[in-house]
Amino acid sequence: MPSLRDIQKRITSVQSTKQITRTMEMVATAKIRRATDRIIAATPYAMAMVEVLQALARRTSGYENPLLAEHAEVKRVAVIVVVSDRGLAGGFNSNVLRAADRFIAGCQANGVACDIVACGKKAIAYFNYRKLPVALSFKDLSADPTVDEAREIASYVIDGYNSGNLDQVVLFYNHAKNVADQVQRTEQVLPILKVAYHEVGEGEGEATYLDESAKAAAAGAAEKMEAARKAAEAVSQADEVGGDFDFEPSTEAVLNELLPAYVQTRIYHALLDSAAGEQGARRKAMKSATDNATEMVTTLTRIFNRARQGAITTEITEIVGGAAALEE
Amino acid sequence: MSTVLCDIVTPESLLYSEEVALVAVPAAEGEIGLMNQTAPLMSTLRRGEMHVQPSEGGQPVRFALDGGYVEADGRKVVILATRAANLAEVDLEQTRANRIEAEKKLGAVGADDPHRAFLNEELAWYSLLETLLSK
Repeated sequence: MPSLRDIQKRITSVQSTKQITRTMEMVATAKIRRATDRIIAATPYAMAMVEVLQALARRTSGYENPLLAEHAEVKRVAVIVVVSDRGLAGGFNSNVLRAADRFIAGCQANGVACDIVACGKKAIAYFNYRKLPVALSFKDLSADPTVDEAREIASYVIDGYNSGNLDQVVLFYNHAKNVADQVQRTEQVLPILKVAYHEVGEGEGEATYLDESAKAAAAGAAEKMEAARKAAEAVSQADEVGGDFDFEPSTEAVLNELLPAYVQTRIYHALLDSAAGEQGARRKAMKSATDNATEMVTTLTRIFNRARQGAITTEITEIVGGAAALEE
Repeated sequence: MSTVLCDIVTPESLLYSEEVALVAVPAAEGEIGLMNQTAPLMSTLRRGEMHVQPSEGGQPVRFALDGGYVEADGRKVVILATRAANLAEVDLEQTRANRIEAEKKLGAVGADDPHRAFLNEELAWYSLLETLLSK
């Protein structure tokens, strides 16, 4: 039986841990809002891009852009892994890292080289530990992704793809399905067509972590992004020539400009999505940590009281026993 | 007087959205002006300066553009910029410092460094800002 003072010490320690986890929970809640705002700010661009893509899809037929063309042989794959800089977010990082690791192992077994683009300190640490070379890495940005980061990744993969160094580009990240849930997603970024989307038709789910006012805007954006994918796929198939836009200098030139921007937007959205997911995951993890701490304090207090009562009872018994012995 | 709605959007946010009289952009085949009732047009943009005229004869608002495309349908002009900045809000000294920084970084990386493509873009952007601001 631990002494009263030991139990008291445990209770104090659990209580201060609880205070920390509760604060972290509240901080994460506040950050979810910021991440959401950023997604909303990014939607006008995505929407406008969809309009252009749709207009283009009607006009271009059978046109081949290097970014649409599949390479005959896949020898080198770029793997973009998006996780967070910090832990204490439940299985948020490990889910993505495990999926990426499995993919890389599969590639290497088939003799395909992998270029790793690591976003987030956790990814950098993970791949360094595994002794896997990292081509590009970003840190201190996971909670605050910038377009620059997306642009840098995009220009790297597009350059690589056009020059033939890269034959495929795959993106691993967490999609924030709603405040509490994140789903790991794997998407092929390049070549743009023949994309096997990991989870198609999830457009409605994308907006559930937003509050009412933002929901409508974001739901529209999610739909439009979905439409953009379809439009991009339609670019090579559409044979109907319609639309009343004049394209300058030519439809092909506009398409050539647009596709890299589309790739960049996809990457940027993955970064934003992951940032929102990170805060959601952390909030959930911290909430259950706080709940567990509360439960533990209750249990410990009960043990403490029982031990104290036991000590008092023993003392009284001793006194009564002693008094009785004196009387005799 | 008839106006046209001009939206300048970047991947980050909606930068500018106003009813204006004229929008002048550096299109792929030379600078073009877009007004109300312009024939529907979609064009790629070069890196350079664009400006909008809020009202006829008014003081133009200048922007720096880092490529992108423009879509105009006679009532609305949408500029999708890879990067854009309102020149009135950019600080010359800061830009110069950024440009020098980018040059330094570019000088430090090897010819096949993965960051190279990105740094080239950075340098071009800051150089453009600097040129436009000093004008």
